[in-house]
Amino acid sequence: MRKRLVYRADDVGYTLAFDLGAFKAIDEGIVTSADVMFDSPHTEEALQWLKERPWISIGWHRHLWESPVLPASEVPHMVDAEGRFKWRHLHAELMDEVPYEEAYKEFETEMARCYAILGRYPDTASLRPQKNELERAFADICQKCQINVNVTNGSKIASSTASYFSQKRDSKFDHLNFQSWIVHPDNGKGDGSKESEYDLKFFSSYDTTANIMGIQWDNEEEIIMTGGHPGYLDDHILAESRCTIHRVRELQGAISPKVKQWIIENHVELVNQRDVLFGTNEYQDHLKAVNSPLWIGNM
Amino acid sequence: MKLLVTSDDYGFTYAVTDGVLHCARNGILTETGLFSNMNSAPYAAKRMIEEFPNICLGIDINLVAGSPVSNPKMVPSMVQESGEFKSSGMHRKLDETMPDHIPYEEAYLEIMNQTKRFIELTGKKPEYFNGHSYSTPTTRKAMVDVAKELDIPMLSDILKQYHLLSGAQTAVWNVKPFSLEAQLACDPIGMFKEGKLTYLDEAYQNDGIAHIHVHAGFIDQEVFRYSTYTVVRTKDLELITAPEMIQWVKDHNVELISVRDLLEK
Repeated sequence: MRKRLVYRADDVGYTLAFDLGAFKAIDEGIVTSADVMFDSPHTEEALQWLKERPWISIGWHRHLWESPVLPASEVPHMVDAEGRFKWRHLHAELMDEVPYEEAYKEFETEMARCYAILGRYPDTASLRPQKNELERAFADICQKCQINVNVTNGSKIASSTASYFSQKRDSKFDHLNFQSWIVHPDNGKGDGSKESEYDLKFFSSYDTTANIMGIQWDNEEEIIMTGGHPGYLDDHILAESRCTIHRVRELQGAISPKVKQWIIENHVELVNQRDVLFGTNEYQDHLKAVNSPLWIGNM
Repeated sequence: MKLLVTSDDYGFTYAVTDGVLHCARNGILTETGLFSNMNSAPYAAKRMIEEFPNICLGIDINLVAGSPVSNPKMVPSMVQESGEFKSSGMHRKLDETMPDHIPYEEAYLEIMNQTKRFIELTGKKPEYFNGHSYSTPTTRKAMVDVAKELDIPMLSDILKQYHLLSGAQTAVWNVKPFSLEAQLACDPIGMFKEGKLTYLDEAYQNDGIAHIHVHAGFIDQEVFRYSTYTVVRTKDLELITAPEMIQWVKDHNVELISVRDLLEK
């Protein structure tokens, strides 16, 4: 049975430390797709690095926790006194105060930054409920830049973050059976509750290698996307993010020799998101070019 | 005043290595000690030698993490069945019934081999010798003997000579037991901003020499595998790269020095 797998690295561009780990996961691991933050301290360096790796598909990992790309004076409703996005992860309701034009301008500038370095726009993004002007502006920019939105049809297994990605899939991808497989730490409740799965108490038992190797395909039309935040840890991430030390475990899984062996033994076909959406063969062509043991032709 | 800034455990893991290199490029780091036995040591040595010849590069003799440079069969008291070093915790447990349980010959062999590996990787002798985490009277004697034989100064001797604090004496935020929660909660750069690193102010008032001795690094899973000193490494890194610290050094006309400078005097 054909078993296609996208491994997505989230938060690329976050910090130098995170990216050094993420780059390791891309070059030495199983990452096929990078979800990039466009408002972070290391965004530009990450895009420069990714430009040299065209076999990696790019997602827009909308963040809005750092600082706008535009000067703070041009987006006064989005920033605090320090010029940083004022809601961070605690006060998402403050996004309701942002006028459409401000949000549109900021998103447009983030995409201009992407295009200027990468030479193209991201391949994918996830829309959230269109409950305010900011979300409407985000959807419009995605449309303007021809970014494919909401490409998967939900998660196969329960997770408190599943609702975050539970927007209805774009109908043009209805012919695809493209599923997310969440490998975040299990909070043990199985009820989609909001308790942080990245709590320290779930760290010692967090086995991303086993989680990846637990992925199952129901049929050969099904394509599974899994992923995480594979990267190194620094003080900025410790201070800013909800997902902190768990990142090192997600990196461990993404470069694990056991996972690679599982891929070989189970004839898992690593693909990027463009391969899924448009039927290309970019990631496998790359593996073939470098004569990787993970190339399906070498298995 | 003069300030010596040491970060231990260089080459411990790839993430720690990249963190120390970040400190060399963007911080006030002046010297670091290489773990020559670890998998990432060749990468660490090459990058430091090529990119930061201004950083004084010593050796941190590591007898408790990773694998020995020597054939494990030649250092049986120091290794587990897997051939990897026993951890410091395992040694301390053994100490309860067999104090000073590592034979001199084994310690001498491994310390000499780690030093030879250092020379192979860097093309030069270590600029200083330093221990790491666990030692016994016998391993300390072996280290001193190897250092003497190869004419390499002991960091501890230099610090004593100049009446400088070392290790935990400077890292006052490191209060044992140092749980993960405590490491996440500690705030060295906050302590610095609040003037709680009093040894810095004393050195400034007396136009003397101060020493900051940390374990800076980014963190990967390998750090958790080999050490209980984990996320605090990112806090140590922040202390010696923070804009506030760099500004303080500039504002106080602090001369950054290393053991290399002290030995040249």
